[in-house]
Amino acid sequence: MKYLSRKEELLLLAIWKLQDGAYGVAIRKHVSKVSGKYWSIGAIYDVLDRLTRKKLVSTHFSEPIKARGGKSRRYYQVTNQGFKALEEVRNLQEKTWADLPEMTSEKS
Amino acid sequence: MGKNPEKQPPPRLALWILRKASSSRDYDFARGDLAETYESIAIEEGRRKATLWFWSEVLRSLPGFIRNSLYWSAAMLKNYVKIAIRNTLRNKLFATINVLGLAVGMACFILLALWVRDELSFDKFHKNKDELYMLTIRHPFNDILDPNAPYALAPILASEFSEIENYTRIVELNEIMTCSFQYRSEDGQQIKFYEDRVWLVDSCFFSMFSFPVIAGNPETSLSNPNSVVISEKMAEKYFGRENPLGKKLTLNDSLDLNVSGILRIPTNSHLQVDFLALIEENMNNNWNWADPSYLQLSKKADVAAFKDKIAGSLNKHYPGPLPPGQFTVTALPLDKVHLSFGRSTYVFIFTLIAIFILIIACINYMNLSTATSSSRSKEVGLRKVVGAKRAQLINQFLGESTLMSIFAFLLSIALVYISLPLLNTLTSKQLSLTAFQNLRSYLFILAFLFIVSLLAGSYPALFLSSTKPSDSLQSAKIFKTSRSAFRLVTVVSQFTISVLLIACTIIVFKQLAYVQNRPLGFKTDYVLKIPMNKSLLGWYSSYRNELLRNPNISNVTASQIIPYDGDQKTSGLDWDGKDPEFSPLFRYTLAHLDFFETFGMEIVKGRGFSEDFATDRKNYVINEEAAKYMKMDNPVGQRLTFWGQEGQIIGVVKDFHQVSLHREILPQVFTINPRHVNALKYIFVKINAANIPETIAHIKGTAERLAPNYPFEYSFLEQGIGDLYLSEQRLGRILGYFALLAIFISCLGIFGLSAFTAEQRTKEIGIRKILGSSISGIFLLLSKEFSKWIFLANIIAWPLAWFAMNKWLQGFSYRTGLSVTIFILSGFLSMLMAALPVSYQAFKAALANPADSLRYE
Repeated sequence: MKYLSRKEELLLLAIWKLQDGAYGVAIRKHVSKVSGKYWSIGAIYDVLDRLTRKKLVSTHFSEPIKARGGKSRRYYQVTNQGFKALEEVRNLQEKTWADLPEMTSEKS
Repeated sequence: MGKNPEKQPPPRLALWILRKASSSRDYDFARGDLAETYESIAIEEGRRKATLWFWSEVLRSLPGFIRNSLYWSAAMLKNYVKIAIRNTLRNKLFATINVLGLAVGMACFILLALWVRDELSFDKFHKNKDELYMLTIRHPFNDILDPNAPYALAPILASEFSEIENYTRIVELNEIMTCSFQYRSEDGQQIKFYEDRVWLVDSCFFSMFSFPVIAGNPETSLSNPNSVVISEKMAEKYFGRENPLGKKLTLNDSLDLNVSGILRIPTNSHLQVDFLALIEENMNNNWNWADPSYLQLSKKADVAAFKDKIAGSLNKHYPGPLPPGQFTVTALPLDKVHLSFGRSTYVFIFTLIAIFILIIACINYMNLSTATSSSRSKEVGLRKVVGAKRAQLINQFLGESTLMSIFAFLLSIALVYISLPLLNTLTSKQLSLTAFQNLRSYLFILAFLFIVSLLAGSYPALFLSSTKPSDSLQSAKIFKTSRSAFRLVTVVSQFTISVLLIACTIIVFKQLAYVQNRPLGFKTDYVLKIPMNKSLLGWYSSYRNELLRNPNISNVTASQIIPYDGDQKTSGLDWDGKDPEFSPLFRYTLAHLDFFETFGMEIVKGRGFSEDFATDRKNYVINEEAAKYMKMDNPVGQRLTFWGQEGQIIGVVKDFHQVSLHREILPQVFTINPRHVNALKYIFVKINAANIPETIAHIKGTAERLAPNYPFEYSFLEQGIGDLYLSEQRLGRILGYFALLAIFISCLGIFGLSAFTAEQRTKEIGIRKILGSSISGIFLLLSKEFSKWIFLANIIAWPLAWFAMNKWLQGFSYRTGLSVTIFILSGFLSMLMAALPVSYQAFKAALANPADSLRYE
């Protein structure tokens, strides 16, 4: 199985963290805050769609909300598969980060 | 801007773009996110910032959307093309019929459009065309619009009304006398011809009309009374490669004229002239009424008011008595002139035919594609199941018809190229496709293609996309019932048009035959027409005697006009018991001895002119119609005064057709008074069938001996008589060709439809045959449906044809009747034409082996 990409991992973690409040706007806000970088809505949904297709997240819709021009929110939830995938990258990360020599800048 | 800036929705334009780009509803929530974030930014950082952010967000997302939709539409396009090609290959016959029918229809349309465009372009090349008008007069008694006006009228109007900036009259000199021109070239050769397009005009002619000038200065070329301006054609005819400017042309061996200019006369000008010279001064008091006059009104003139002012001017100024009633003088815009005298009907008819043919072709396409579509119903059903939207299906089928029509269009251009020379000889025009080489035409062609594709493809597209996938996947059953009403309407209207065209063509041809075979009351066979000239006129008696000495020449006469041509009329007649209020126009003919004998006209009462009676020079012969007008039961011996010359009526000639059968017979008076001898324009010689070349050589030799300085030309009158009906003959022939093509296209459609019906019912026919149905039974079964349609089409077409042709025939004073047989004949013809393809298909189906047909599918 392929590993999660950095972006996927980032968003998956965000969804996990936000719990019941994980929908587009909130996710974007959270991710932008954590990463300190600008995320466009398109960029968020590009990745969210991929996660949905891989069944790492499940989605459900809220009732239409007036403040959103009568559109509903799409809430995301991490599935078991999602957790498994997260664990996998975490394991991989821990393994690859273990027993490394000290970071020293190269001397010439 | 609003009262509550916090509650403003995001920019509408950006929202709209977003909605267009992401057509699916799946991203509603993303749009919701955008709106929500927009609100929060607006609250935190202000509306402007939020708007800016919104726009950047939308623009940023666009490339992705476009890439996405392009990818999918390209994939679909590939699929559409593949399916279209497969379908075309599977139904080669139908595809060929479709494209061929559409191509022929388009070609007809383009050809007719070229013709109509040329007709509409007449006289549009003059720079001042918007200010130029023809002075026309509406007659009170028959409501005829007369293109001619008295010579004296235009100058009087010009002095009275300041609106008139310029005027020119045209005197057709060739109508008054025969005109011969002679040029003695430097090497002593004499080049001489008779000409019949010789005009005298006012000096303003060139400041009013802007004919392309090849040489000379148009402003000064007519300032000198001894100048002549000639057409390009004449320059070549007389001077060959020499430069004609300044050369001397001699008119009628007496008047030397200097060539001062050369013009090119475009074919789409209603003024067709070869020689132009200056008009004489004394024309200002001449109230003769035979030629047109033209006015140039000032740019500021109120034309409607001007027309009101001049309306009564003829009755006001005319010096002599006029026939009773108000003659309405009016001004006709120059570019309307060509169409106002009979042509507009033709333009209308041809435009109608063009549209009809195109409609027939489009109906064919519609019918065939809806018919064959049942074989595609499964495809449509599957597409729908897989998720095709209706708009996509409509686009697919419209796209197919667009492709088809583009293909047909290319084919039709090729057809037009091939058939254009034929049309040009038929119409004696110089039409070419190069007329279409400008931006407007290209746009027109695009629009044309678009309309044709839409016309042809809209029904199949709308129909096919409307079916429920469950129905269309199940079977082709539903197609038969739901579509037959529509197919009935289209096929019937198609055949209605065909029958209409057939009936009209038959009637036009019948009228032409009637006109040509009607006894005209005179004979023109073996009558030679020789233009008169001054020398021959001087020597006329000797010439006549010399000719009559030849045993092969039976009669010689001279006349001012050809019996069936020329339109000289006068009201200057007086007789005993004439009602002073009654002043009809009489046609008059200034003739010479033997006139009636030469043309084989029958004298019903009294006698013709004779050498034996010296007083005959003052006597008159009238026609039967004139006797009726004068209310004389026994006219012979009665007194008659013509132009002040009193004499006796010595005979009555049987009525003959004087102009064309468009017009009724007018009262006519004949005189041989030598006072009018200068008006004699032609010599007519009746010869025997034997030894014609020798006889002509004799006639020619004698003429050249007596008039060495004049050209000798002759023609047989029979050739001339056809000219009278030339426009009808052309109309008839063109109508015939296009009717044939229309019928061809409808037959193609019927052929396709019947082939398809037969194919659809292959299984049914197989079962019927197994159960013992005979071949004729199956044949009947298949042709019954079409017969019904065609019968219905006939019922609709007959009254329409009757109405249209009755109106056209009103234009003839002598016309053939509209009998039922014509309609039955056209109905029969249409049946026959439909029966051919239908029966071919029916027989094919009936003869097929049932074992094969049952295995079909």
